[in-house]
Amino acid sequence: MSLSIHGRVQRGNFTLDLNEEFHNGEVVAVVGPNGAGKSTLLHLVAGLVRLHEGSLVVNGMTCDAPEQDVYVQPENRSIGMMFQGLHLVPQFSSAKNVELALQARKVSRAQRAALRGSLLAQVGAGHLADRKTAGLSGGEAQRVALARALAGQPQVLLLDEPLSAIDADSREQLRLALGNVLTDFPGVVLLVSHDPTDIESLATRRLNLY
Amino acid sequence: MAGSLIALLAACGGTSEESAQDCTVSVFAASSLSGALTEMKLELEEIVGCEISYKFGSSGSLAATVNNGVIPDVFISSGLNAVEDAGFESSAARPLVVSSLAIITKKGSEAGASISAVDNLLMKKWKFGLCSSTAPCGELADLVLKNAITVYGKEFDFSRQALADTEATSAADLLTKLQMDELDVVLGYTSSCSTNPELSCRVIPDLVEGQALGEKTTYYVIAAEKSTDNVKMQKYVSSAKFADRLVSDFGFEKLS
Amino acid sequence: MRRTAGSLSVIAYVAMSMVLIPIMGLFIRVPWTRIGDLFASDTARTAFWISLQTSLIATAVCLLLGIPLAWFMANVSSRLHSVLRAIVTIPVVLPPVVGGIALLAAVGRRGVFGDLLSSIGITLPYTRSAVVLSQVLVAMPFLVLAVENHFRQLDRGVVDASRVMGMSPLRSFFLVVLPMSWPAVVAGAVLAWARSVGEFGASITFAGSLRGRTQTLPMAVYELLENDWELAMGLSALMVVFAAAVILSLRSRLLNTSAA
Repeated sequence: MSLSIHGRVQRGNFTLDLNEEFHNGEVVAVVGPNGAGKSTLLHLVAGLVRLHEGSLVVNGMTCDAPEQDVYVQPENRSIGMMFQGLHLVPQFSSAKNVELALQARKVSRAQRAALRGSLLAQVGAGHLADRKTAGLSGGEAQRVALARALAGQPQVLLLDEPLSAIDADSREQLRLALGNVLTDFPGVVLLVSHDPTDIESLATRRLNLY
Repeated sequence: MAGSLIALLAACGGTSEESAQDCTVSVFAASSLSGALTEMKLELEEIVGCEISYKFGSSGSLAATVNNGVIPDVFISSGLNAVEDAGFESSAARPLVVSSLAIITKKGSEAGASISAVDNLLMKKWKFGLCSSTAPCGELADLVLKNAITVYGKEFDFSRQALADTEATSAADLLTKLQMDELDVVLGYTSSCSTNPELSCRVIPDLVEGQALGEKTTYYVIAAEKSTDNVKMQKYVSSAKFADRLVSDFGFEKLS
Repeated sequence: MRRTAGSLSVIAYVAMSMVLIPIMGLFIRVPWTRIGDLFASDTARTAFWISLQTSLIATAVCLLLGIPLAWFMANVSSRLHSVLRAIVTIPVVLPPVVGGIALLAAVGRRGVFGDLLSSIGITLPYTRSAVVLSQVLVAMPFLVLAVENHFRQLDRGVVDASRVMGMSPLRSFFLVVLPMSWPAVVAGAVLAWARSVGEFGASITFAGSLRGRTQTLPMAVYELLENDWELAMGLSALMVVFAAAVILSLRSRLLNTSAA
């Protein structure tokens, strides 16, 4: 097992109870109505939201256990995340955005230059390396965000609506590229999506939040 | 520095049973006279029969105000430069009284006890202020400092930069800082001590060991155009009575 | 060009004139034949260097202290934020002389902390540091408010993303937040610098004015006004030229703030 969550998230009136275990190699589609807590689950694993009670364990390391006073900061967990709003740095180029993630993981300067190129190529965004992300189309930006999430070899990959900004035509292309990436990804993948085709073709398992 | 006084007086219109406050006489005076003139205000108003409005400031700023078109009935400055700068005829100005530079400290302060002569100013521990070179009190201070070198010896650094902590365009600014305890000692006019009991003045002696040290400034009074309102004021200000009053009660010195 | 309502345009011209006419008047009345005297004047040259040095140091201090403050303010609860914002804005509303008096009351010789400072050998009034301190007091609010405004509008998601990708809060501030805020920081710094150069009331009250030690350009103009007003005008005109040159050279940077 690689990711286990047994606990509760509480925020005002909102409550989310979880009792799940995920294994390496799984691509888990997180589905459910709006407001059920799909994004919250991803934010919890990332460390941006905390458990009210219970425990969250990633690859044997307890990241969040309020009753034992344990809380590991987001930067010390090994997570790659693609946000719904993407949150790329608009003034930086695609290459620089990806490089930031490598820099964050203390990758050396020389290696960063090589890696950022291959990461962008992997998602089909190699030609966008020097373009400022502010000027990219929705789909192009999502590719860069995906490349950034993969940088630093995370143990868990969190994808929040990874294909939502792309028009139907390019969607198939990126879905294939994403599928390849996910097949090669050794850890756990949590994928939030509303699109049945995405779920069909990418996920190995479904998690229903209701 | 000898001279006589000129003052022009105007009789104020109106019968004596009125409070005669419907006329105003404006007086521009160097701020070192502010203590004296303020204390004398009521009696002056009685003599003159008009309300008196004062404007005190450094002689230079008063001259600048006159240049900008605000002309007083009476103008009293320290030294003749301001009179000329204000556009008046210097020959029409008459000397009034004289004042000496003094070492001023707060009464009862440690500085007051330790600083008795100009050479004591060399002690770095005291915060010392003086007028800037362009103001009359500053010119005077410069002369005193220059004389100090002859009196005490060239090996001592009596320059402004070495001695002073701050300059101001009028002695009044310096006195405020002195009273706030932000300065320990100030070179100002002896007259300040008569009107302010908190201050203690040590007059800089004219001569030290036969050599000239102290310097004096002469106040000049000049009147603007005569008018019915200001004639009485101008006459009084030029009279010996006014000068004597300043000398006897407010620490000024007679013209020699 | 979009059409503005006629009446608004007229008012715009009036507003513009209120700024331009005094400046033009100054340049017309300056006795340009005496410019040589100005450059030769020891008072002017010394004051220029003191102003340059103190304003640059003050701006640096404002940046070092103000940017963290701005970030802190942008991230606290809204109640604490209103309080902090009010405190930071006080020097803007105060007459500068009052600022100087406040400084004397706090760190003057008889000030609240005066004795404490003296015991470690520091007297502040009448020193060049006092000039810098006065300038920092009046200029910092401008920098803090400008930068804080920008920080508040910053996409917090980008900060979250940088945390998840492995950056500690401090690293994400330096590697992501600051680079994203560069135009606002520059604009804030220019404002703070401009305010420092023009500072007069607080510094003449707290630091005094002594040629060669604490007399800045505004103080020099003030003194010159009483005995050589032509030189005072010349110096004033030169200050305007200098300020305009700096602002124009940074114009493109300032305009970019709206795009950031």
